[in-house]
Amino acid sequence: MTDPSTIEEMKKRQVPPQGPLFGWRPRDFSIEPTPVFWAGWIIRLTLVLLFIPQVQETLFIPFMRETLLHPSFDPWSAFIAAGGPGNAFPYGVVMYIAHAPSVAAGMALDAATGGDLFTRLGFSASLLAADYALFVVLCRLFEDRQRYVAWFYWLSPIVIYTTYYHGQTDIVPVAFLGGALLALRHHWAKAAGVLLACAISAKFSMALAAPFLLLYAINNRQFRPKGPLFLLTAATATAMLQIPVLLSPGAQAMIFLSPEVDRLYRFVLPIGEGHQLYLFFIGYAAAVYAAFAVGRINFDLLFALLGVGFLTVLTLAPAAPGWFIWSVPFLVFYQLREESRGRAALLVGAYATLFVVEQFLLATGARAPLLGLDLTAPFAERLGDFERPLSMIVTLRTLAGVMIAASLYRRGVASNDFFRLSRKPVAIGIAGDSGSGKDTLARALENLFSPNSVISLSGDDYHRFERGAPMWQILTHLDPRANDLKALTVDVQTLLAERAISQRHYDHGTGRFTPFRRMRGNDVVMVSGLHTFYSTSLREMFDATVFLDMDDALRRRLKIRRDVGDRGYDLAAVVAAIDRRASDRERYIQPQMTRSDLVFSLSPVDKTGLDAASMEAPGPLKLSVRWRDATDFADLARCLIGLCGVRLDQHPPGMDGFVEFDVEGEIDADDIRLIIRKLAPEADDLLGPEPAWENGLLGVMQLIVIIHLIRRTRQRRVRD
Amino acid sequence: MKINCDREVLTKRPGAVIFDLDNTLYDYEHPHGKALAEVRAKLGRSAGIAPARFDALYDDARKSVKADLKDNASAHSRLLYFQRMIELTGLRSDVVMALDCEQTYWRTFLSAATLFPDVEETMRLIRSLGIQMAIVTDLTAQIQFRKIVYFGLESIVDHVITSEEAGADKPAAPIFAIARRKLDLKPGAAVWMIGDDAKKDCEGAKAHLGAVTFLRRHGMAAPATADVVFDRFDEVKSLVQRFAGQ
Repeated sequence: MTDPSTIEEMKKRQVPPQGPLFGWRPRDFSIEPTPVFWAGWIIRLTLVLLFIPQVQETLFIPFMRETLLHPSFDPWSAFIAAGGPGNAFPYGVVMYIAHAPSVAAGMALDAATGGDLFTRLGFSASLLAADYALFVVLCRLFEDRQRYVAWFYWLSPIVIYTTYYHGQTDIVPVAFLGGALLALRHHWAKAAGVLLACAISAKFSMALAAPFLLLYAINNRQFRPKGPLFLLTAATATAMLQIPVLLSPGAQAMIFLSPEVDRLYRFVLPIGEGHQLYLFFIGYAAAVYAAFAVGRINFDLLFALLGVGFLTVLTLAPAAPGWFIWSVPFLVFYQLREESRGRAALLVGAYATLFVVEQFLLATGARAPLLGLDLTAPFAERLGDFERPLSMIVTLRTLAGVMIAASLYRRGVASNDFFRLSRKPVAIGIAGDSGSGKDTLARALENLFSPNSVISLSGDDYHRFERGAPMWQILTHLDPRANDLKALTVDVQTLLAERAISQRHYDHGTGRFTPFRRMRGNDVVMVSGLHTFYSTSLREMFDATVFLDMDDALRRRLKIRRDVGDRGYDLAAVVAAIDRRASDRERYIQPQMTRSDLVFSLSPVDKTGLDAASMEAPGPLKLSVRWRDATDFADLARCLIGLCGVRLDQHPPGMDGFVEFDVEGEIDADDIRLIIRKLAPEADDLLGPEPAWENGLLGVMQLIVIIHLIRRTRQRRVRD
Repeated sequence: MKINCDREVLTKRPGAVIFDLDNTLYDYEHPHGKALAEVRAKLGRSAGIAPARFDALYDDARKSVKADLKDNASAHSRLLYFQRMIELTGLRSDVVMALDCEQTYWRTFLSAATLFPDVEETMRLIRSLGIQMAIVTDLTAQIQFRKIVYFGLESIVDHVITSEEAGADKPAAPIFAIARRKLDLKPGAAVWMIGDDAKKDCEGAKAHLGAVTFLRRHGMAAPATADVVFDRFDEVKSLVQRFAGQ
């Protein structure tokens, strides 16, 4: 092992966790120098040196050169006024700023050497920089698949052809959009907002991505708390960056009246009387609606939806070559995520090849002065009547695009692990006798989810009578007849349907009910009470059913501590109530244990000398767990022993399908966090941005409930 | 991949493959940097130790512990480094603070550590071919076992030998002697040693086990002291793949 040997080495390696670039170190911008990496560079640099793309030579570079030679606050209008073509630079201020330094440097070199090579190389340099930036972004987004990203992105014929042969500059806004997505992934809300605004400013079409990012900010459980900040930053930065465009008639003419915009109206469906439907708008709106309709969105789903959105645009408009670059990050994602990576690569390969052939035939090309070639005119012009084969190529490319979009949608949306779970709220039920720790567990679980995303119902709120009511002389609280279980069932049902309920709360201090209040369904519905699993119809609504049991003496002691200490009841009355309830407990409460997926039972490690009437806290406890269909037990046990250093004893397995084990020891919340990341990375989609894991056995209970919930989700996915 | 030995040697099926752990199966420096930054921040908050001072203290403490313990497994103990470091600040042995720092260090370390690509696949392939595997690593057993569990390798490898168990770090003979004994290697049996340190892993295993040595280079030109110098585990995997039909 190479151990750090000098302080200088250490200083070189370490930067504070939150540096100027969110703690990124220089190595985060570097990419493993594989043969593919070098091949990509060689191809790019060869093309840059050999070819002068026509669009750059006739439009972009003259625009940049003229406007840099004669600086103006409104370069677009100034260029048109000077007689330049009205479609020279249909981009915003960020695109201009992205190219200006390298082009200006090139112009200075050209002025010194008397040629025009360096201005062109300057323009290519900013394209190469954006291209490499997008490559780094994709490598960071798909950290564990870096080598595939190199194949799928860095050697992508679409990027290479469009940027370095045809000459489009769409790679710049797409790099900004990629940056915005990476920032969203890391919850850097402000950076994401600014980068999205930069993408839109660079090329206005990037606004097509905005609704998807907006829906993500609203509908992603984890990002939601930062959603408003993202939206505000994006809106403010977009407004500021669009001001120069709004003040420039030239820019407006170039951007909004460009021939590219006309393409959106090209595919129509005649509906008689001279009217027609514009298919692009219907298709794009449908893609946005699909994103809206799925409800909660995780990051993979956002990527898939954006991919579907962009591919829809490419299918329903005769897209300009540059537009295809928009779809490249999502084609990379598709190839990485598809189960059969080979098949996906083949499909995308076919799509890209057809695209390049199509564009060779239809779009302008480049000059290669060193080779003495002029390939600027589209090839189709030289081929004469080539209509049908050309249409066939376009048809096949469109077909491949539709197939990719359909697969992306299917995998990204329909197969997404938490998609099915997230379409309706998660329901967690907790049952157990009074004083068994239901409220503590419910609160601990609640703290794992996003703030304000959990709605909790307590069985106590469904007592039929207030304290002192005559009926309590006949019934104990443990008797189902003393509780309005039907109302509880209907309320849970209503909340799970994401509708509002009116509910009253039982105040333990006064023994009275509060006035009715209105509560609305939310991400998580948590119900804890004495009879949560008493009726089958209620029990079956839960994704996880947890029963809390407790060693008798310990339960008595804790109940006395709570009722006398916290709630201020009389000690003798509490002890009498416990005794009076014993038979109802056996009859109504304990049988629910067998109907639960999980049974947690706390008992003292040392049972001797446990005085039930004592108000002192009990000594060390151990947790006994009964877990139905505990397929994750072996992994959990491995981690609890190996990473947390707990004592774990498994009981001999029975025939009832339950795994039983005891856990004791000091466990740190950070260890629990480590285990959940290891065993159930999907928990990220389910839990809040900063889940509050507990220390000790309560943390173990949180861990097991969440692992159980996630497994249930996976099972539901297979079943559905 | 650069092969410095007779290629014929690589065609002989090994009786066992031995791996080093740190920086061979996963990137050590990234999690180490994050973990140390976390402890630095913690001590900045709780003990008011400025980052620059922390770095100097940590370095002094590490050198001092290493000077005391030399090539012993405990010479790598972060607990001892932090204990010594806190002592150097004049706080005497604040054991709670030392334990807290150590636990913060290793938790952060583990949460940031990931196996290199293809490591697990390569090891599973070796296992499926019925070739024994061992991890032979410096440092104390407690933390090395935690890492192995964290990476989920405990069910793949047959043996783990730490320098704590052997009493001395690589390249000293004892750790390799224990490996030979646990793997029940017959004299003359072919062994592959895969590591990242030319001296400790490669020279040690060559001298004491006569191993065919594989050196994972850290993206730089590696000395030609190992039989095979490789960059990625899929290169090792393709070498192992050849034994599939045998």
